[in-house]
Amino acid sequence: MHECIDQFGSLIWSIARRLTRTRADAEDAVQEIFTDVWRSAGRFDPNQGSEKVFVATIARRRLIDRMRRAAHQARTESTDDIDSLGWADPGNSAEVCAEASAAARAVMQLRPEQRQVLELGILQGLSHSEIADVLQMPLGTVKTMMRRGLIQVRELMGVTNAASDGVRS
Amino acid sequence: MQNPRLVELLVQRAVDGLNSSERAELKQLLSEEKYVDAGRFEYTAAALLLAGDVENNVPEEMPHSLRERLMAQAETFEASMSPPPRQSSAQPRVISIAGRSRSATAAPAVSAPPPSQTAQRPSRKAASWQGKVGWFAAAASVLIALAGWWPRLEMGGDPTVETPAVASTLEQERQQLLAQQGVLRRTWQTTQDPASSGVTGDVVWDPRTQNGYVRFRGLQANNTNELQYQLWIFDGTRDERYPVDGGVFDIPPGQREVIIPITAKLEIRDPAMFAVTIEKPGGSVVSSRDRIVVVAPVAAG
Repeated sequence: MHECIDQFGSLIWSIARRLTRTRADAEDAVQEIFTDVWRSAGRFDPNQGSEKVFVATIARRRLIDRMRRAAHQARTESTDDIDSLGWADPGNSAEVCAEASAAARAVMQLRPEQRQVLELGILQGLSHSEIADVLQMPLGTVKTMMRRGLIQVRELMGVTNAASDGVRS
Repeated sequence: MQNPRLVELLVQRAVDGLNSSERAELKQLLSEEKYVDAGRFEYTAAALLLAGDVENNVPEEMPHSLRERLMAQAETFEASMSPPPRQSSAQPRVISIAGRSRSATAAPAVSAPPPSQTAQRPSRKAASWQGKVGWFAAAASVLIALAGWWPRLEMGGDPTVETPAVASTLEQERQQLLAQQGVLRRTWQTTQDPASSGVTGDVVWDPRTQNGYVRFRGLQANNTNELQYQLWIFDGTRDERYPVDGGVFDIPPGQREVIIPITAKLEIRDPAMFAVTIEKPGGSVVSSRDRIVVVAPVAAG
C-alpha cells in the first residue's frame, strides 16, 4: 500500500486539488479516495485497462460524492483558484497512459460547444445545472450534449465494454 | 444497452452523481438488464480527466504531512483486512472498530500468533510482484488470498489452531495508553434512548498516536441481523454534519464489560465528541442520529 501511495499519490492529489475548493478539502478527499482504492483493488484487472484510469475513476466518484454534499457552496468561491483547463494533443509523452491519449484525441474531434460541455463537467467538476447556468443553455440540452459527447468519445477511443467493468458500485 | 433512462442515469452518475432515489432506480434498472457496461461513462470521464491538464502538467507533489497520514492510514487499513480469529463458543467475539476480532473474555494468553498474521500482509514475494505487474495485481492477489482465508476460519478451520485470548491484553493496552501524557479520557453520558439505560464506561483517546479504546458496561447485546452499534468521532476541524466513522461493532451477550480498540478511519485533528449510535447492520455512511446511545463530549472532561 505504501507503494500505491508513492505511485498514485501525486495523481490523486492533482485530481483532488482540481475538483475541490480548498487544500484542506483536497487532503480530506485524498484520504477517502485511497481507502476506496484499497477496497476496490481486488476488482482491478490489468488486462482490461490501466491502473491510472482505474484509480482516476474511483477518485472522480468520491469527489463527485463530496461535491454533491457541498452543493450549496458555490465552487466559484474557491479560495484556491485553479487555472483554466482544457484538452490538448498529448503527443507521444510517456507520462500519458494510452486511454488518456486516446481520450484526448477523441475529444478534439467533437464540436467546440460539445467539447466545452465536457470540459466544464469533467475537468472543472461543474454539475449539469451549473453548466447550464454558465453556458446559458437549457438543462436538457446540456444533458443531451454530455451524453452524446461521452458516447462519441468512447466510440472514438474504441474502448471495449469489459474495460470499464472493473469499477462498479 | 437501449434503455434511455438507464443511459441517462449512468451519465448522471458519471458527471453529477446520484441521489438515493436515483441510485435505487439505477440498481433496479441494472438488475433488469442482461448485460450492461455500467461503468462505461465513468471510465470514459476518468480517461478524459487524465487527458486534461492533469496529465499534461507535472503533477503537484502532495504535502508531506498528508503523505504521512496516508502511510498511517495504510497500516490501519491493512490491519483491518486481516481475517478474524476462529470463533469459540466459550469466548464471545468482540468485533473491533478496525474490523479485527478479539475475545472479550479474560482467558489465558496464548503466545502463538494467530493464523491471520501470516495472511494479512503482502509477503516479500508479493512485494516483488509489484515491480513486475503493478501494485494492483499484487494487491488483488492478497485480497483473493484473504477471501480464501475468511470462510475457512469462520467455519472452523484448523482445529489445532487456538484462538488467541487477548482480552487481558486489551485492558493492559488501555492502561498503558492511559499512562501516556496527553491522553484524553471521558466518561460516557447517557441519553433518552432506551438502549442507553444503565450504560457506563469511557473512551480513551491519544491524539498523538490516533489510538484509543471505548469501554462499556451495561450496553445491551445486539442482534447483528437487526442492528449494530457504530462509533462516531466529531472533529472540530471538520463539518459537524459528517463526523468521522469510528466503525461498526457488536456487543456479545453475557459480557459485564467490553473493551474495543478504536481505529478512526480519518485523522482526528481536534476531537470534540465521541458518540455511539444504533444503525442498521453494516452501519451507515451518514447516521440519521435517530438513536444516539451515549456521548462523550471532550469539553466536558
